[in-house]
Order: sequence, then C-alpha cells, then structure tokens
Amino acid sequence: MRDEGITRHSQQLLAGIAHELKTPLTLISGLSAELQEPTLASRQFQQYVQRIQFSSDRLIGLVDSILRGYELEQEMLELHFEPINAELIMDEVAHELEPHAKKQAQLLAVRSKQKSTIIADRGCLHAVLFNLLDNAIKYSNPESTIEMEARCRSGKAQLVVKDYGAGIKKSELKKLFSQFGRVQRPVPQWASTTGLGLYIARQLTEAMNGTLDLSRRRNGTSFLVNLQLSHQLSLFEL
Amino acid sequence: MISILLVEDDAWLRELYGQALERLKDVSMEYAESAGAALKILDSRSVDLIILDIFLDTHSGVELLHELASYNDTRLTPVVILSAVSESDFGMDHKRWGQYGVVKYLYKPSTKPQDLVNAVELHFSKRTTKGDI
Repeated sequence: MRDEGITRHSQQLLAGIAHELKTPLTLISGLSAELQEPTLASRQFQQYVQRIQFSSDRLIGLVDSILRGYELEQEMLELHFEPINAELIMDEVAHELEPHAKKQAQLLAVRSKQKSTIIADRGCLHAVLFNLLDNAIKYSNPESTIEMEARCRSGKAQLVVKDYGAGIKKSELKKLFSQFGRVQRPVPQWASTTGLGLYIARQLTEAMNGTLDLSRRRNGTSFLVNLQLSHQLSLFEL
Repeated sequence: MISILLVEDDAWLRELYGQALERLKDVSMEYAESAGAALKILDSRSVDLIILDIFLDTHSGVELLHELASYNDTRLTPVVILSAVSESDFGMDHKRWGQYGVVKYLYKPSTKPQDLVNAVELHFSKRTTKGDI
C-alpha cells in the first residue's frame, strides 16, 4: 500500500512539474520558430526575442525551485544562512517576473515600511518569493496590482505577497492547510491543478525555520512569509 | 471571409498563434482569454472555427465544449483543440469528437504557429472540397 502511495505521489508530482514547465517551453519553441518568419516586423522580432529570454528565465526559476523542493525532500539540500536585505530580494524577484505580470496588464508594487535584514538561504528565499509571486500573477485578475511588502510582526520579519484575485474559498483553505500539515504528505491534489508553487514555497520556508501563512481577504489573498530578523532585538537596519 | 475564434488564456500564446493565423488570406480573428469571454463573443456572432485551449482559468475548455454542443447555433461549429494536455491524457474517444464538433487535436508544446496555420488551412480546404463553404 505504501509503495502504491509513493508511486501515486511520484506520478502526481511529475504531472504537476510537467504542466508547470509546458507554457514557457511552448513559448520558447513557438517564438523561436516565428523568428524565422520573413514577414515579421523588426519591432516584433525584438519583442519575441525578449519574450524568449523571459520565458527561459522563468523556466530556470521554476526548475530551480522544483529542484530545491526535491533536494529538500531527499534531505540533500544544504542551506547557507546569511543576512539578506528583504526589500532588495523582493525587488529582484519582482523585476524577474514583471514581464509575466505585464501580460495581463498587472502592476507589481514593492514597498517596505522599514529596512529589514533577515536571516535566510538566498537561493531558497528567492525560490519561495518567485513561487508566491508567480502564483499570485497567475491567479490575480487582469489589470490588478500585486503588492510585495517587507514588515515586522512580533519580532520577526514578514514578507507579504498580496494579490487581488478571486481568492481562496474557505473549503479550499482547510484542505490546503491539512495537506500541508502531513508529515509523510503526498503532493496535494490541488498541486497538480494550481501549480506546485505553494507546496514548494511552504517546504522551503519551513526549512529556513520560518512559516508560510495565508490570509484570506474579501478581495484576494495575502501570503505571509515569516522569517527571523538578522538581529533579534535591534530589528531594523537603518 | 472566414472567422476564427482563438480561446487561449496566456496572452503571449494568444498573440503568437493569432498573429500567425492573421497571415492567412481572408481570415478574420477573434480572441477570448476565457471560456466566459468566448461565450460572450459567440452570443453576438457566429464563427467558422474555434481554436480552444483546454485549461482555462475560470471554467475549463471541456465545459465550454459541452456548452457549445448544447446550443443550436454553436453545436455545429468545428473546434480545433490546442492543449498542453496530450491527446492520450485528454482521453476523449475519437468516436465522441463529432458530438462536440472536434475536428483536430493539437498538442501545444509541439505545435509551432505554422503547424496551427497548416491545420487550419487543411481544415478549410477539406471543407471547400466537400462544398461546405
């Protein structure tokens, strides 16, 4: 029975990964083919080249986070904790995913009430924020704003990714958290349909001694990444 | 003039495939980013062909197929499925294609824009040969 569970887990995981990667791969393949079209205007040629570049970067980001999730499950992931400027890393991720948001005329806004330095593994934190923002873009309404904010809550740094989408139903929320909470957890059912992003983001956040919480709002969802500040008592770097 | 409705939720893929199809002579393109937007267009005018993605945001292309098959004015509209789900995973028996107007299934990751253009041209050339249009 356990073997069957593992096989089903692997199949779901593989299906989820494959689906995630198909859109950027399809774009790279299709756009590259169109570059050879002799009637393509030069402005369009440039635009297609940029889109190939962005799709490749997004693909790398997705593969990178999937690999980190896999390494974590296999207990192969080595974390290197260091002080990281929260606002800078949020800016970096927002910059990488900005073209993805522009596709739907969405605006990305990064703000920080205080300069906060957190202790985290840079690659893992990048993967967490990349997944959360990628997910927010995917499920937010067109022409909406997606906000990223660094703030301090109860002596911890809190990095927020706030979307204005359809939100998550209460029933879905319960399922989401119960699936997350299992020790020997299979990839949750929703992971193959709504992407692996949240699943991986939560795993990686917990590996960095943090928590990933979700706050439902009437007009969307906020994902809250709680991590340790670099100085327990002197909270902010000025 | 042949009218084609392309239902695809990814803006860049919509543009990529759409612009390739616009190179065809006597083709007028309509675009929808969701099943709801597609139904809105189809409420106001008929089209000669629908190119349909299966995974759409709000309700799926499969649900849209069912809806189209249930309305008199759309049940005969031919549909080309353009999906990231392979035909074998999609699992619709060829015998049921006619019931939903499906004339072709294209697997998106291996479908270059020109492949879609060729499939559309072939479809209309067959119909012209049969004297349908």
